[in-house]
Amino acid sequence: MARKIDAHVRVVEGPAGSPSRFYWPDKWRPVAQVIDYWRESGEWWDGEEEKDYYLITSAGGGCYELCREAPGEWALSRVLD
Amino acid sequence: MSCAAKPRANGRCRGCSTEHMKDFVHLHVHSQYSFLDGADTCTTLVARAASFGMPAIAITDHNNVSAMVELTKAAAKHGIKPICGTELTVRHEGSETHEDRSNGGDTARAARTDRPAGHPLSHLTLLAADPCGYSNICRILTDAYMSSPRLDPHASLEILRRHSGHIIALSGCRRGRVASLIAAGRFVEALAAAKELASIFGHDNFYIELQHTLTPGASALNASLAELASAAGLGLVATNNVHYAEKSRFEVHDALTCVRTLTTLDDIHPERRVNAENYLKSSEEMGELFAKYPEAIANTLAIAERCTPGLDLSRRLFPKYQASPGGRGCGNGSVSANDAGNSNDSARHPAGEPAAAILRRLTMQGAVERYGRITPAIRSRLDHELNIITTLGFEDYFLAVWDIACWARSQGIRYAGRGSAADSAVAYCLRLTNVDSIARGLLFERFMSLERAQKPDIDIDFESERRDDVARYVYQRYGEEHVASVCTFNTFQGRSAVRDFGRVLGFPQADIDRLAKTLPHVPADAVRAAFSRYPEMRDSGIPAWKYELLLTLAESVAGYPRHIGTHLGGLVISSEPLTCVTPLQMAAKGIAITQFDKDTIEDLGLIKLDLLSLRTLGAVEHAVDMVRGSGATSDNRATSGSGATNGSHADARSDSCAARSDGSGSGPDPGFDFDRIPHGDRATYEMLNAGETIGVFQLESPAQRALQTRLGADSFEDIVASVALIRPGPIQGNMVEPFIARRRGDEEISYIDPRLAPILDKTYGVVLYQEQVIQIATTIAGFTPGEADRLRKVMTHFRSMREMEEIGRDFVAKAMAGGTDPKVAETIFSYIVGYAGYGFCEAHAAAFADTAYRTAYMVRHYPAHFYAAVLSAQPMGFYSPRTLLVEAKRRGVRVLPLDINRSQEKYSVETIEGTGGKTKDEAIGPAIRVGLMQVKGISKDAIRRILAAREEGKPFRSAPDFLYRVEIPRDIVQNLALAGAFDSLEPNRRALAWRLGSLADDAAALRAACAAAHGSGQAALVGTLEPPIAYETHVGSEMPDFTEVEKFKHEMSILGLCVSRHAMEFFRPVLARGGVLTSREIAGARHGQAVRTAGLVVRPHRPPTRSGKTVVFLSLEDEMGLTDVTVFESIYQKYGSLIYGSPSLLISGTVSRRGDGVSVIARSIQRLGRRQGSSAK
Repeated sequence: MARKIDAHVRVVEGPAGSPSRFYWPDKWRPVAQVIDYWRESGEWWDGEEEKDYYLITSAGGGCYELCREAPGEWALSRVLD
Repeated sequence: MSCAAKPRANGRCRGCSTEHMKDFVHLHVHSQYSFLDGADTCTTLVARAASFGMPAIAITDHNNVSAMVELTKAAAKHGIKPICGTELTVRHEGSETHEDRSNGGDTARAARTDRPAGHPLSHLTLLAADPCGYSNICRILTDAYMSSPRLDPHASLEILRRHSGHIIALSGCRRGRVASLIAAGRFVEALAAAKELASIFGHDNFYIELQHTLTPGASALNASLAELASAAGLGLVATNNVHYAEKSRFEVHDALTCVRTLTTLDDIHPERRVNAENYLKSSEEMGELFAKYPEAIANTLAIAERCTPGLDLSRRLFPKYQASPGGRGCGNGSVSANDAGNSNDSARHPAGEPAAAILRRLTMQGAVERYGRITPAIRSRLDHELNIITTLGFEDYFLAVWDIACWARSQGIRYAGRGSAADSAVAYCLRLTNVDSIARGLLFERFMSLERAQKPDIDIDFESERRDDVARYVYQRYGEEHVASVCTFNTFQGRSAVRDFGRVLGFPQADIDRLAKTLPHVPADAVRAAFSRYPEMRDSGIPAWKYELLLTLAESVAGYPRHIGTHLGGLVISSEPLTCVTPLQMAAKGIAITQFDKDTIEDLGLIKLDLLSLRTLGAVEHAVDMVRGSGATSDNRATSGSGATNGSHADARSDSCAARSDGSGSGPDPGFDFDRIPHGDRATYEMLNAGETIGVFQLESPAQRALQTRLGADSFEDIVASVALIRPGPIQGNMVEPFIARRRGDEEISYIDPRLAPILDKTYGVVLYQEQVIQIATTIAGFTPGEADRLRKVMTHFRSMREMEEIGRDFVAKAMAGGTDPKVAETIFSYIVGYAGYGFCEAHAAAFADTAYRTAYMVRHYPAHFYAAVLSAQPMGFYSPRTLLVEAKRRGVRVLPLDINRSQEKYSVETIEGTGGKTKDEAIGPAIRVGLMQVKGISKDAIRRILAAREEGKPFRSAPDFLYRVEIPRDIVQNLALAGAFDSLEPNRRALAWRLGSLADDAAALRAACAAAHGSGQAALVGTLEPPIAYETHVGSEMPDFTEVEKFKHEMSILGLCVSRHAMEFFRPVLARGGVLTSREIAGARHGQAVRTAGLVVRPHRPPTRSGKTVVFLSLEDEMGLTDVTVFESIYQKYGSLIYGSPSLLISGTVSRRGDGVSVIARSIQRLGRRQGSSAK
């Protein structure tokens, strides 16, 4: 099961630009592993910017999909069980 | 990533000190030849790779190698190695399901979409290790196309096994067999598939391909692929499945994908890529992506080092000429259509006679036949040409073309050589062309020269209906494996780009249609200019940002190939089996075509033969048949002896076997000979001078008609000049007016240098022909023929002012060195610059003028026959059948309606006997009968059934009789009825249409009863089962017939024309009351008279003008003829949308008389309709 969140979150990036920890909903969650990452161009004809997606597991064991919408701007897209 | 954005020549990137040069090679790259799946040209991609310091690049388009010549040339230019390849679609027989087999025709779609792992079609990347590997790829692709549905090529594993030598294979993208099985979690099957492919290509020649384009799951897939490679002992190789050179081109690729998948930007489709990562990345970027797999990066270099270029562009593959089987050739011109190809000792080739000797012998024999006696001047010219031809090694080519022309002549197939080949006296003596280049003083160097050393290009037009017979002969002569048609790449032009991207952007279909139809024929990157310039292109209500995106996308793909097609006439003949040189694939018309077009095929060492199809020649042959009364069809003409071809102009004194003075009122003329039409027929020139040239080859456009009324043509030279004058170059170069003025004696002819006089004498001191430019350059500036030809090319293409200025300086300097005054030299060069743009070849003009004069003669003396033939050959020429019929009527030719008992397949000529028509305008004599072919939707089979039933028995006695005897689709019978085909049997069209269904049911029942009676042996009953003859009498009384307007609308809808009346006749009473003049009245109006006139809009067009302003020329057609109208810029900007959006117009303006021509200069324009018609009161 996956729950759609689409909420802006604070993220601390690692040296390669991938997330190292993120704050949601009320605490910081360290990233344990990046399972997958990909890039989407979106609706370019509507001026939408390119976005990077990271499927990660947190140190607490949760699985999350984080999206970098712009440099320094992150959102939590989904939480996966 | 910084390396990608800032490549440097030395391979070192700004901001880092690492040497990245030569550590990666792209081995999976799609160019524009992946048709709608490649957003950059091969040249751009090569340049990009070279800018990264990469030592090689492979191009791997979908199932073709069309980019390979461009790749080889571009790679040579940039100093990197070209690797020939393809991304092949492979069928895995073992995975085929019943569903797949039953949906074979649908697999093209399946091959392009994400498929389940078990799908039988997959992708495989093939790279040619050397020329042998390239040939094997060609063979594999050929088999893939020839053994599959036409649009769905796929190769079997068996074919791969057979031709796997010298090929390095990569396992492919996510749609590769191995990757797709892994993605489906079927690791064991993936391993087996990899081993199978490795066994086909060899363990060292098969690599597992890794791609990382930042798509979901790519990392995991690569990990599994690497594990598989390790298990199988196979090497890894990294690719990026490149579809464009730079990231910014993703948008173009995405839009092209939408074009390909018939989707809009807002649609979701699995073919659309999720991101913009399929660009040609730098070595550093690739290194970062594949940091875990350094072997995959290193192997790209190892593979590149193993490969050598697949193409050798220095080869010559044209076959040596060999005499026909049995050693028989055919004579030249003295051999008539009846006996050509029979024993002719003069054309027998002694065994072992070299091709050059054969060519010389045939040329000299032909010279005797053409000239009667070979003078020293003629011999000198022929020696000069033969020397160049044989020095360049093209004697076999000339003989091959001669052989084809001979065969065509022996079969009575009409042909005419055109183009610069008409500059050749050898071609004239061999009867390849009909232009006496010696008499005309034409320069052979315009056609061939030692300096240029280009392959010759002899274009021959054949009558359209039999051009394919000629092609078949070539296939038989050289063998199917050695001959193919040349492909053509249909490229994005303005209209196609607007249609495709308009749909992708979600424009309403009506808007797309309107934009595309009104857009002039311009390149896709000129659409923006057209939109801003032409008023009818604006004000659609479409959001501005969409318009902007449309224009940007159109500009981005200008000239890109959209799909492959068949060249109209190009054939190639190869000494080697063609499948070693190029893949072959089937075209829509069922013939094999190459994957290289006319330009690139010659780089492979092949020479293209241009065997073109010209409808005019077909129309001529049809007209000649009708004049002779032979009724011969194209199928039996071959043996009828009627087809003398390519003869020279008969001397006016020897016109005994040409036509009577006027064939319009006479019966058949069995002795008529098109090839012996007298040259100086006064009546024909009078017709030309009157501008009455509708239907005349090359002289029928409004501009040509206007020219003729002012030129006062009285010789063949005037026609040659006419053909060359109405071209963009002379018009923009302001040569037309001086030419006319000097021709008429209104302006003095003077030469700034006396040496120009002999060169420009025939054109009254005006530079008109390309040959004249070459002569001026050689005479005044002492250019070598090669230098002069370069000038001709710079001038005719006129791509760069800088280039023109450079060659101008050279011209002046050399002229001065020869003693010419610098001011004179500069002035002379200014003549040439003024001519730049679109120069015309005199030889080509002369070749066309020959046909133009003869067709003019036909129009003048045999209008019924010729117009019937032209109408039968549609689409051709400038005018619609409706306009042609108006013109025929204007000339007094009666037009007879469609008749189920009299109409033939084509338009035919019937002789009207007796006292003539109902009015004095309806002349007796030959009349045109509308052919069954004009009926909308009718098939050749339906026509054949109608004609066969008519010929087998007696004429149809009633509509039921027709329905009983002819089984054709009911909608076609309905069209025949509504178009009036049964009027002579059943005058009430509405009653007949109303009852057609039940009548057809009755006829079917009757046929069944007859069949049953026959089957039961009761043949005697059959005679009692005939359909009732008197049926129509009571049908007709049941209901009133259609009104005249309804009948008119039906005929226009079904035939595209109406014989009984013209649309303008419905408006005429109102228009006449409003003082609106007919075309006939306009013809009699005085210069400057204010007039109003109306008619159907015919061919509005905006030719280039010297001022650069837009001027629209159109004709208004009414029941009496045409009125030519000129619309200048200011009026056009006001009424442009009406001109291009209305079928009929009411125009106010003033009459302009120039010479014998009359036109109207528009002042205001209205749409002509019911309301406007009333307002004309």
